[in-house]
Amino acid sequence: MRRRERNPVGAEIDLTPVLSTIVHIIPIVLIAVRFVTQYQHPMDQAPIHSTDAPSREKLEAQERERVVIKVGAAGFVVRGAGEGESTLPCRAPCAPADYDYAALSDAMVAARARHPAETQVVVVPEAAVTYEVLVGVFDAATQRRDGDRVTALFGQPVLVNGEAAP
Amino acid sequence: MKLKPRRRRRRNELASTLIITSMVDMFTLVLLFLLVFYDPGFQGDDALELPRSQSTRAVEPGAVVRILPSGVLVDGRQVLVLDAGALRAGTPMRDKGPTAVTEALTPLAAAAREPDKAALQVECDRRVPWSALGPILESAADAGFARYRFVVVGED
Repeated sequence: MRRRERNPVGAEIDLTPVLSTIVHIIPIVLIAVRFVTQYQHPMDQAPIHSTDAPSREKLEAQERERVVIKVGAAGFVVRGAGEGESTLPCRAPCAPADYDYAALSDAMVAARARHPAETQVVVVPEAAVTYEVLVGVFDAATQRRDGDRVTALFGQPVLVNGEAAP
Repeated sequence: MKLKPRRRRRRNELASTLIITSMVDMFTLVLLFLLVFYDPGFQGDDALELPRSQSTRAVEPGAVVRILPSGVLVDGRQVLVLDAGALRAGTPMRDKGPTAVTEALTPLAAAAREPDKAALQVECDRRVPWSALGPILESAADAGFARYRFVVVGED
């Protein structure tokens, strides 16, 4: 009895279904994927805790030299951009987008002019302030963008954990 | 004179198949590339939402702490649970930071090439308040990290 012939020698694997599957998967992944460019805001100093504040005399001496941004639920309070403190309130209801980052940027330019040798800016956030607002503060404090022109301001932000600036 | 009928040369008799192996290779590589760079962390309700920033400084490599509204992950492992971005009452604290985060970060800081210059990548959700972020940074400082790289998304 004659045996049936198996597949002829040299038969190739049919890759068409594989190719078809992959061709379908690629557009699905491309639609689902989000390509984003990540950057960073560097901070080269650990947060200072307000309880580690120096003595009162030293604090008063530092007040004249330091640029401080207090970030609260009602807006910014800036020290070091002019005489005394200046308040930059946010629009109600004070969501992250309601903070006046443009005014803060102007204040930082003024502070840069008053403290040309200073590289640090002390940022004192209140407990409820979100990370998004902090990043907005870092943006305003570290550089000023006017179109393509970028002016470096205070390159080393220092965060203070607690309710008071040291 | 009898002419022999001229034999026509036969072309290849076998039906030539299109060689698609290279194409399959290429598509497989494209698919793998997309799957590797596909970050499911950017989707879902409890996903990481990084804030937008004007910063143009490239992210430097380092240990990663990811702070979500639901918890804190150190190098991909959840070490602390948060309630809508807030620390739970009674969370064990060492000094000023959560003990679990300090303990998870300490070996990473020690393993850094230059331990005194160890940098920590902070991938924090934009909705997380300072009341949670501050203590976690204190934990990082206790663990030995002196530098922080706050990861943001470019505006472009």
